[in-house]
Amino acid sequence: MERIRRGDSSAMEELYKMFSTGIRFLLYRQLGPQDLDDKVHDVFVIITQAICNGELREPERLMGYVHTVVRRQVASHIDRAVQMRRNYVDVDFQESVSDKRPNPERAAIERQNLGLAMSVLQCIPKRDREVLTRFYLNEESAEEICENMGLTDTQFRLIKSRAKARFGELGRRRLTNRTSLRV
Amino acid sequence: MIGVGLPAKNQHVGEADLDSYSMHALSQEASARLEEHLLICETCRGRLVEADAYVAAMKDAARDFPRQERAPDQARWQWRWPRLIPAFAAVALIAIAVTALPLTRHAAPAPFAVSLRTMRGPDTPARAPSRRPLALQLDLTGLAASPSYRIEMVDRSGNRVWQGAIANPVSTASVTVPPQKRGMYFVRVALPSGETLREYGLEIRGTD
Repeated sequence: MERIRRGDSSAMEELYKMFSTGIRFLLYRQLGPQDLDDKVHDVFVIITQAICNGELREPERLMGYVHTVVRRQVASHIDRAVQMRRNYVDVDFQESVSDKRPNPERAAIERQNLGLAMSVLQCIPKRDREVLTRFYLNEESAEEICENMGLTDTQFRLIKSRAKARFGELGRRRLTNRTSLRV
Repeated sequence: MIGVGLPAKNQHVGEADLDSYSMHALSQEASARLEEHLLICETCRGRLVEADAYVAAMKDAARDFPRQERAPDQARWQWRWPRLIPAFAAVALIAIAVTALPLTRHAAPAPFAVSLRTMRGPDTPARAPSRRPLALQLDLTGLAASPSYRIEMVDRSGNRVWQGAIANPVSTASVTVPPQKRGMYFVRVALPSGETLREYGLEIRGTD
């Protein structure tokens, strides 16, 4: 941080290298791909300015500060999007609507994953299926499920992890079969 | 190398926390800690992407599964149809008898009262359970006078999940909102023109 304060460009490169992928990941997850490079750049500008003007001095605060800046950027973007949407409605402006459907490749992957998940549900006991339905579809908490179904926390975790392991195993098997066919 | 305290390489996010985060079921504090870790851990970012895909697939599969499960049984029922006529007749008679009696109806869950006083910011937001209607009690003291206010509830992505209005408001007001999924929400009070006057944070969790 001292090197950044002195204007050392290699230190700034190190900072960018350390955090850029993670910042990009969080921003993409919350806001999507639009203008992602600009948003990542904006975050870095804020961070380096904070370091250079002495607002951020302690290295141990850096991670928390980066995270706070990312969250604020997300909140600020959402606020702007909500205001824009409100203004478009008020002036009867035709806003462009982006197609939020997944691209064909992603849609194919999602269909495949659905097939795997269905296979997992078909080959597990009815009680396990109910646990997974309550958790993933009904969004009941682990505590609620355990209380209502008379399970211990360990039993609940075991049901979940077995299903996930089965999902992964079926996925790998399918990939291996496809590779064998190509060969 | 910048002097940053990095977590040990072998310390990663647990599977349960990844699933909960993917389902927006982690607390705000735990989510913040997890996101800080994701800033620098490529392994956990990859695991989260896998968790997202898995959670979405299981959700869709669980939703579709009952319909698929019933389909294979239809042929068997058709084959046994002649045998089942007396059984169906008995069931029909019982159903008629039961509906002729007064039944105790399951009451819809009572709304869960939530007092909203916290603005969006570092303070802990109000909390409420999921899957129950919410009776939001709004603190309107100090707001610009208006014959009515618009009330809007949005999720953390800014998508509106509910809107309503309060007519002839006083210092406090109450609105009832339908049950919502777990996650972080913001409740906004605005003038009829749309100008936002106040915003409250509301965290919806899985248990009371």
